[in-house]
Amino acid sequence: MTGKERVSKIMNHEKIDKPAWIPFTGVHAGSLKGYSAQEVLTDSSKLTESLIEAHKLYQPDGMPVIFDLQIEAEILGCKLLWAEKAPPSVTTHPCSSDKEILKIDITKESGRIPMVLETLENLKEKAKDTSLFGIICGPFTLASHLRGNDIFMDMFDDPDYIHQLMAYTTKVAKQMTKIYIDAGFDVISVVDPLVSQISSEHFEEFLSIYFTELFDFIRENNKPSGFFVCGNATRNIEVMCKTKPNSIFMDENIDMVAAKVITDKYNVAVGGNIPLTSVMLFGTQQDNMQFVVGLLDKLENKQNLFISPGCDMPYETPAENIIAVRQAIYETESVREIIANYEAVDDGIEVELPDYANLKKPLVEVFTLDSATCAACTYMMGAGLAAKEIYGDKIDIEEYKIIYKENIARIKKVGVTNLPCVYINGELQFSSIIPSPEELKVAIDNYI
Amino acid sequence: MKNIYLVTGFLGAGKTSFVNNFLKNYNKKVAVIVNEFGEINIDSKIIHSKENIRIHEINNGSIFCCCRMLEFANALVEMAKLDIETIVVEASGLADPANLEDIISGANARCDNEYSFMGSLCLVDARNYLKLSTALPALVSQVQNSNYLLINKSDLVDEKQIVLLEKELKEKNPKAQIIKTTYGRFDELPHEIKELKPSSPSLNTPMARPDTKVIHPKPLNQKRLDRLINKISKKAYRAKGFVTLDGKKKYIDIVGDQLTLSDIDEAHRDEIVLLNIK
Repeated sequence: MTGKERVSKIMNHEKIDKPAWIPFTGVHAGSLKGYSAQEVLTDSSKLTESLIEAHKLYQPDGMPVIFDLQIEAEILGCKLLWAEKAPPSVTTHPCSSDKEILKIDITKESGRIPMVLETLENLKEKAKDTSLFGIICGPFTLASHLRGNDIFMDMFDDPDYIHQLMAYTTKVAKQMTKIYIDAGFDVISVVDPLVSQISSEHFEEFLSIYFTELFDFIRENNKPSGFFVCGNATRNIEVMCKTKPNSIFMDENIDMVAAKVITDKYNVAVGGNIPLTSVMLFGTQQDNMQFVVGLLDKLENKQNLFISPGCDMPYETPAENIIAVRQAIYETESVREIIANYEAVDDGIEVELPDYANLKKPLVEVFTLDSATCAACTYMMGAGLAAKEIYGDKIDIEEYKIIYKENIARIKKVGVTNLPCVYINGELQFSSIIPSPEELKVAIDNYI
Repeated sequence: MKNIYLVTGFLGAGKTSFVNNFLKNYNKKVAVIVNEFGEINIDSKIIHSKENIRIHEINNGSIFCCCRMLEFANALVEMAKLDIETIVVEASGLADPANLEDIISGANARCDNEYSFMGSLCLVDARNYLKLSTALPALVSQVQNSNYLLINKSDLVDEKQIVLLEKELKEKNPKAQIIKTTYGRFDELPHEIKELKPSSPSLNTPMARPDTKVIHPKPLNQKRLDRLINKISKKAYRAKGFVTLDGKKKYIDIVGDQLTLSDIDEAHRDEIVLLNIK
């Protein structure tokens, strides 16, 4: 089953072999190629290059092409403040002083949409087995971009205006949906972080009809939908389900195990919620594997389920942590054993390391999660084997898979912290990011 | 060791005015982390008049949300290297600060326990807290996670409303100290409050002189005048002065959103004095 098929089945609530893996590679993808957030959010070729690298390393079942909730706002007249390692922020609100309703329509020529569509075209062939998510700004968040923070007072003082504003931003969201579906996106994700800020009563009063209309529209256009929320929206999960999206994605502020009981009642798929900062950014590979295995263990019903970061990943999230998440979803049992062994191995296995200082020829050691099952590890080992073909007897090459206890002991003794990685003569050369043949050759030549 | 204080409150409750007043009177080296500048910014005059204030702005979401938490923690780690004694964090209006201490411990783990969290003060807008808190759960969390609850603009509502508000606040956070203030003026707050010192006896004193600001508007037509009034009413409780409207000189007086315009004969420079800056 391809990733695209798995995502489609989950969105349609059909039985699947395992949860789908959806890494939200927002601006983080740029970090893999050394591009800033602004570069990947404005330049199709840099975004494409970054996404292809992310796709190669993380082997997702589904992934977004661009994660920027300010695309629509920029078209509608909001000014943006760009950042090096984060999406831009809105600094001006066109309706902040006058309660007006804009008359601007969004077309496929508007703002940065041509750049998004060009990137989608570039990816269609390269990531043909992966479900490509089109991210659109949710109508409530877009309304706040237009009106500013007065929107919360308007909910009390001028509810009619809020309804007019929501009707307009929903129209814009439907225009975005149509453009993205016509261009070939597989899933339309409506991302509305502000939904977590209001009570469920206000959700029903001001948002329910508009979200229902939008998800109906996506369904009528034969594509599945995602409703993404960030922050503690626990109280709103049920009312969100009632707007009938195919799926709801949430972050670490929501207890996904409890939320899934509600989403299952409405037969809505659920996705999330690996903590972005404490686990993905600052945690180790073991932390990430442990979180995912723990989450899967706690979820009784593993149908209707996506595993993903809680939101778009921080720019500097270590690639090895994301690789580890994928491994934990796809190879849950062996990862469970790795975690147990990692904890237990201190009691006793002795390994002898080579005498690195006195080797007769370079020793290339590839440490992997398991090159048979982890795609990034396969590429890393492949790079080593390609070098072996070139150098023949002039070098030695070994793979150490973490699935074996003795290799965990070795990894600890060498001081390896991230997998996959390449050491030459006991010295770290490449970690997580796969070297090109030229880069590996230069590294090996230093030891000949 | 650096002390961290948190200032929360919904938009317009008076957070920035409070922080401005704090900065004006504070003589130690201080940094301010502002989570989204509002209509009223940290007073640039205060910043320029003192060399020892640093401002760091974090936009595009609450610093307590997982998508901005990192930027907040990183800012703390960076500021740990600076020669400052105090950090004041002005949260965004909808910030839910329940996880502040977790973020500080995360930052502390990366900067050798440089920080000590001293407490939190929440500005409560007497006019609209009761109404808004039913719809915006973050406001309740701000109250629950505060050491001081400063009921601001209490002159703008009747006594009955204040009694109800105090009852609600006590119910949500029985341990917090509640202080009332008026006109958004903080000059005469008890010094332990305006200097953000933790745990002090409550003193409820009236405020003294209002802050003022002068603006010089260009000649106006009705639409521009409406916009101007809208802006002014967000920035000040009272404003008066002279304007040119449709080519004629007028005396203008604004109280809240009530406008009085009268014809004048003498030539005056177009200027409006904003009183009781929010």
